Amino acid sequence: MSNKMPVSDLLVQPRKRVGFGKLQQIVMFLVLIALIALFSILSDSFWKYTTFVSIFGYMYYIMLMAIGVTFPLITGGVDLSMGAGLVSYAVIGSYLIRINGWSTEWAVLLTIGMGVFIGFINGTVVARIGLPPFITTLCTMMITRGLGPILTSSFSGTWPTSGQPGGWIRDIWRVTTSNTDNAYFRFISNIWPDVEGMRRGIYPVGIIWMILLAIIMTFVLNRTKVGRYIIGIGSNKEALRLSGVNVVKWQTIAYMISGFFAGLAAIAFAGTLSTITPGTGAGFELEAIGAAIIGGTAMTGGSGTIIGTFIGVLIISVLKTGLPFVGLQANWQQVITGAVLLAAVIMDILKNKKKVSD
Amino acid sequence: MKSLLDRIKNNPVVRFVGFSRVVLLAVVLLLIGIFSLLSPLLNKGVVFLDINRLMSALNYYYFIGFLALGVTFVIATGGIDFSIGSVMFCSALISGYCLTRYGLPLWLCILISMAVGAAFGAAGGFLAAYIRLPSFITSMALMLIAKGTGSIFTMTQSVSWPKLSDGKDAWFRYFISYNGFPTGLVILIVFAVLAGILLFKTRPGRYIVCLGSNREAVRLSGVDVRKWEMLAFIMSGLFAGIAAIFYVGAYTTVQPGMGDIFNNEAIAACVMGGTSMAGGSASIFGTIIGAFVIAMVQEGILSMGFNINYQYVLTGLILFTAVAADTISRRRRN
Repeated sequence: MSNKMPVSDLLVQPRKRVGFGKLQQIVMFLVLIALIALFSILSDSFWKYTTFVSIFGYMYYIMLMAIGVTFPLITGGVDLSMGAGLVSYAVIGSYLIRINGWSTEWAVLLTIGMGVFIGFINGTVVARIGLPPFITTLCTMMITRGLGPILTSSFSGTWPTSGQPGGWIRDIWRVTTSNTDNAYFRFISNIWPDVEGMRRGIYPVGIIWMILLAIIMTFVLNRTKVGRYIIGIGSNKEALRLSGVNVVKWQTIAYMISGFFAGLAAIAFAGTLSTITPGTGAGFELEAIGAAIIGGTAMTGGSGTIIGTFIGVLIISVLKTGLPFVGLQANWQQVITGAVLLAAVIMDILKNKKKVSD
Repeated sequence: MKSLLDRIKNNPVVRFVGFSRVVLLAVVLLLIGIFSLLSPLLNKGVVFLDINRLMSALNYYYFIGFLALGVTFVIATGGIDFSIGSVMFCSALISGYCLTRYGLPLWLCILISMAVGAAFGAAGGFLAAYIRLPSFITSMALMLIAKGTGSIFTMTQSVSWPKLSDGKDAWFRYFISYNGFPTGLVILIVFAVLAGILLFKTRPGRYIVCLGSNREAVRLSGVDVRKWEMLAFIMSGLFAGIAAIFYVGAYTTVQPGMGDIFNNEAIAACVMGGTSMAGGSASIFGTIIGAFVIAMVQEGILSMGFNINYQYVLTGLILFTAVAADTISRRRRN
């Protein structure tokens, strides 16, 4: 590989972002710690094992969307179709299980397949026809949002619960056990000495998949051809194209990755929520985009890390789970999410200004 | 075949009106045909082209026209405003709450509605023009903030504006129709003319359109581009505040946390009418035509007996087609 395309490899060397990128990750990690400390001080009931289990439960689908959307963001685009899309995929999947009698395995495959398909459409339109990404994905957002309820006759979806056939869809995210006498729970009880959490004996299994996926996607982004070309499209698309790389293909793949992760997020959504209301979900993607930008992905494309996105999602999840503990209800969460998104974008712009003046 | 197309394109009438508008007209006629044909079949004999039905249906769509007029200013600068739908709802919630709970006079509430809209527009304009943030992401953030602010202000309750039968404080409904006369149509056209004069016959308007096509050149010629770009966003917010009055005039009740679908309809109307997403060219006349097409499509879907989800899908497809046509024709010209 290395002696076949030396020119393009030179061109798409990831930018050296040891300085500010690492610094931002460290700062954001400190912000995360500070937020947890703040909520624990302000509210007596925040520092509990159950709180963190529910933060994880809330986090999974946002984390998956955020890892996915990092790829179009790095190419300099965006994917707004994920939120409405994932709800529609999950509703269609549950409809197939409940009404058409599909097995959970096939429904899962189709759910992910629909995500990849919508991602393929987004990518083709953006890369081949050259439409602005935000308008393209806005259109697919509206179309998927409408199609979900149309195809299922406004079915309120429920996936199999734990214990039912196909209930593994729940068990891959959290496992409840009555036997809490083992090393894990002894370790946990040292950190959170709350009895209630012990009695409910929950393993938040999903966090393992999140960490695994983050590691895999970090590898994909930094160590493979796909990742390098996607970074290259964001930093200098024209140079990459002139060096003979099929940029249309790789740009399409970036959107297919985000579509694939929207499908995975649909599985997480289906596996953690009891009922899915069709036609909702528009706006979920803003939390994911906010998380990716907080984590250091540049709005203008060309740089970004999965670890940064991971920390960004943790910040947003802690914020949204913690706000009710200090008395701020759901309508405040929207304002706060909007403010966080703005803050992230402003920070991104200031960072770029600093880079230029350096 | 090609010569026929060329002959149509070179026809003096077609050249005067513009080829893309002729295509739009053909599509509209085709849709009218489809709706007239399918409505009686699918929806128990509903006649689509019933003038009384259409005139009363029109009342429910004026607000899209106002939203589209406002967003034309922003799109002309090359930006985008996704917050207008939610800002419209936020304006209607805050001013309606002032009217029904605090008992403020109606004229003041209408001003409050416009002020709330203009304030959100100013915020979006400041972020886009002075801090140079991408307007699609800041307007999305403002969309969330507008939704949240509306529901915080009304404590998550929906607000019902007075009906004509209530007698008191209901004269805003005459803005829409007065004993069957379509006042809303007249007001919309007056505002469209005013917007057209502002955009094409005054200095600020020229700056707004020019900075959409070449921001750097306008800046280098000594114009404070930031001020005029911000003005475009303020206009968009102001029109969202006006649209709020026309929304509640037709639908009476506003619920918190909603409204984000309407910005897409307004943007689709605007782009369909010939305002380029890339900025630098705008058409107020086209925007009004686009708004009527959107209204007609939505009414057609309802008259065929389909629900709102079909409207989402179709609006998405229309917006996609409009932007794709704009992008492809622009590429051809280059």
